[in-house]
Amino acid sequence: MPKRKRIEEKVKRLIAVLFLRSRGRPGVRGYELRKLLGEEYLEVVKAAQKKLEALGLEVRAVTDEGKLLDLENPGSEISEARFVIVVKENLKPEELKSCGWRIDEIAVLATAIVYILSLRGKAPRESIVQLLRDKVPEWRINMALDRFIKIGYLEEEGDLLKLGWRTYAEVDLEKLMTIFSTSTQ
Amino acid sequence: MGLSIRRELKLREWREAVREFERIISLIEDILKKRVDPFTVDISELLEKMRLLLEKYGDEVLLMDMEALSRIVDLIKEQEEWVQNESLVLGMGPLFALARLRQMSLEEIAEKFCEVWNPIAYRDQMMVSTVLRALDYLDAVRRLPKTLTGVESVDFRLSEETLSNLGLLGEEAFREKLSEFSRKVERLLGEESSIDYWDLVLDDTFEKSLENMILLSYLCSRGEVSLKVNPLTDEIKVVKPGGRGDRFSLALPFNYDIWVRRIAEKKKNRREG
Repeated sequence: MPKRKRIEEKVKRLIAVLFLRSRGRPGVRGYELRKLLGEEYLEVVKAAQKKLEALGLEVRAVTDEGKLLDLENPGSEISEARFVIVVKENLKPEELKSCGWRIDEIAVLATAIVYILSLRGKAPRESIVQLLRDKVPEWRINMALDRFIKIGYLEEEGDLLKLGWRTYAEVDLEKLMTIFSTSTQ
Repeated sequence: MGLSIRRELKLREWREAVREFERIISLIEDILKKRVDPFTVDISELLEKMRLLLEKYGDEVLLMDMEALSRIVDLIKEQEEWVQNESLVLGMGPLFALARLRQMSLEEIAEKFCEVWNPIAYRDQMMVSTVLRALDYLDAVRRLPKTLTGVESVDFRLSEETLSNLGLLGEEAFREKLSEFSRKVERLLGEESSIDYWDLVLDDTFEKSLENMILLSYLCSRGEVSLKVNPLTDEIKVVKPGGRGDRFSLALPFNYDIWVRRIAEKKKNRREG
């Protein structure tokens, strides 16, 4: 089989495995992709990237520590990194509901992220709840925080909360902080 | 006598050294817990202090020294994370963040967040093991006998009086209560466009209040009334039913303590006005 055709076949396989979540977490690790697609798996990822771009999607590789890896210069961490497909286009608030999110849940996540970052990486859970208590009922804040911990957006460290791998994979933190430090009412 | 004094003095010094180690440990623990700037502590100064204590007391303070050293390692890790996040934070302190977040409405926060959020796209799928478990279950259900053999079934009905004595509510009695409550709500909604949820359900006893909550939840499920929640004030209003698109679930915690608190609030509100 010519190389181009072989790569195309592998691209289809790659997209299927990245879309279909198995176990608890979405995404597939680098070494799993190598096993599935062979040594040239990064070439396949780049070819898939081109195809997905047209659909407004993007393949990202993120480590468990939340470091986004450059697919052109991957380095040794790529093997352990988790490959995921993200929606490149930003969602509109009115589209949240159709994705299974409530506006107040997303506001809880945004608030937690901004507050955690403002405290340089970790924040007491209680402070986040207190910060939001005036706007969202307490039980809903706790339910949302538990959900975000479960799906990887936040991590618990005793009484403190810190950012999870999924936040690093999905959220442009630099832009988020710029927005929150410059936005005016 | 002199020996005993010397021993006592040595013991005192040793206790002071242990206290010094404890101070170092609790200082670092405080910084880590309260999320204070980890650079406010001079690590080299702490290490120098620990070195002198270790030199003086040797093995006697070795365990404390190790523990303090382990905390210093945590502090250095914390400093590293702090520096990593510093570039993202753009000098925005927690107070500024608090003020900014307090100013903004939930919609504004969510809207700003959507501008920087690229969610992962994936489909949930059922694992083969889950499918096999489901098949096992169906197989087990199929094998169950439709009627229990060897057990004499006796068809009898409990009278309303017996149910009442047992503290249970029969179907008829429940239906009656429900229609009575429905009429009450209908009448109140005829007079006003909305009724406060707690004003409606709270009654003289905890049991009766709980019963009212259950009856109201039935009316909501049947679409006879609807609830309107204000997320800012946490206020819940009972209103006439809206369209199908407005349907949502609402969980309301309720126990004896909440009932006592709500009743007290209700009485206070009545007194005030």
